[in-house]
Amino acid sequence: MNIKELKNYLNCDDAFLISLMQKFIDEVVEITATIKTASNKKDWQTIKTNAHKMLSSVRIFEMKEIIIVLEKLEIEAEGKKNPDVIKQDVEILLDLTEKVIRDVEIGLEEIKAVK
Amino acid sequence: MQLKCAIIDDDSLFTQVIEHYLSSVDVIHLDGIYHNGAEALNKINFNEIDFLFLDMEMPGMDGISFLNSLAVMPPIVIVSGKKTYGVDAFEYNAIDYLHKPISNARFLKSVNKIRAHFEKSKLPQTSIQQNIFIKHEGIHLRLVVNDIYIIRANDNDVTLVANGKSYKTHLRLKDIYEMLPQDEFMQVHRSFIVQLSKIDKVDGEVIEVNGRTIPVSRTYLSELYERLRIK
Repeated sequence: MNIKELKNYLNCDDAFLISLMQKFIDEVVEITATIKTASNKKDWQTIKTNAHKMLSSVRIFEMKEIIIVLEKLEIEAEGKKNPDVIKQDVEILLDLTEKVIRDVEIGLEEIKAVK
Repeated sequence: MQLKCAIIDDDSLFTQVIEHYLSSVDVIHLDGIYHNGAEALNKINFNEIDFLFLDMEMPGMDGISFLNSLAVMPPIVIVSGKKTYGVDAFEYNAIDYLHKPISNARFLKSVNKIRAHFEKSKLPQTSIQQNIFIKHEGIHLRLVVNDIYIIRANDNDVTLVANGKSYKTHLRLKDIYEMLPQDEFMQVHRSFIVQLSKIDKVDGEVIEVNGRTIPVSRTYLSELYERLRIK
């Protein structure tokens, strides 16, 4: 994550970026928990809705790896044809989410250190 | 011009970003944020907003269902994470179509489109609906505001130039200025008010309106350039 580029992109100061990143972490934690529960219940519609919602957030931070998984998950969940593939993708998503949250936390530390 | 808008989008991170962008845009005031179409239908007073930022994909009632449920459609800026809604944007006469994520630079371009949309839609109303009465040669004469190009203060009276004719009246320049729509007319000199949309040329401290040369005072110069968006 390139903090300088992100600040230029959003034309914002450190305080706004910190609040956005913190909100992102809270939201991503909540969404992935919902997706995990929905996957256990085979609730594909909830997976689709939440994958779409999370996509919107990760696109701001240009997290390409997780964007690919979420796009695939959204399509798979809409098609409802391959429950095993969906479950597999949910597992990949959960692993990637941990990495993404760590990246954002590192970014947060970086901003606070400069301040 | 001050426009009121509402955002309908379930994505709270996105709405936070748009709220931040709007905080530096004087021309648009954010009236409210709604998280789906049903909530917006229940809570928005459509008489009080000028346009909507509308997400297409939301849980519950999505953007298309929301639009189809409206008797009168307000101007909209369509917002989506997918590129497939371009056709819908065209079909619903959207002012703009924003594909998420949206940079501040792209958003500001959209603000210009929004402003242009409302300025354009205002022009015909002016020519049809707005008139003023002035006392000219002893009778009260109706003038269509859109026909007035120049108002000039003389020693003892004021001349209005409208549709190629001149009308003298004993009103003060200040009084006439107050009768006119301020966003369409501007005082450019101690003795001159002009309709901005009738300015044909700007050359330093001189403008040309309907073939007549008008001086611009230094006091008004920067405001004039700003209102004409001359850089």
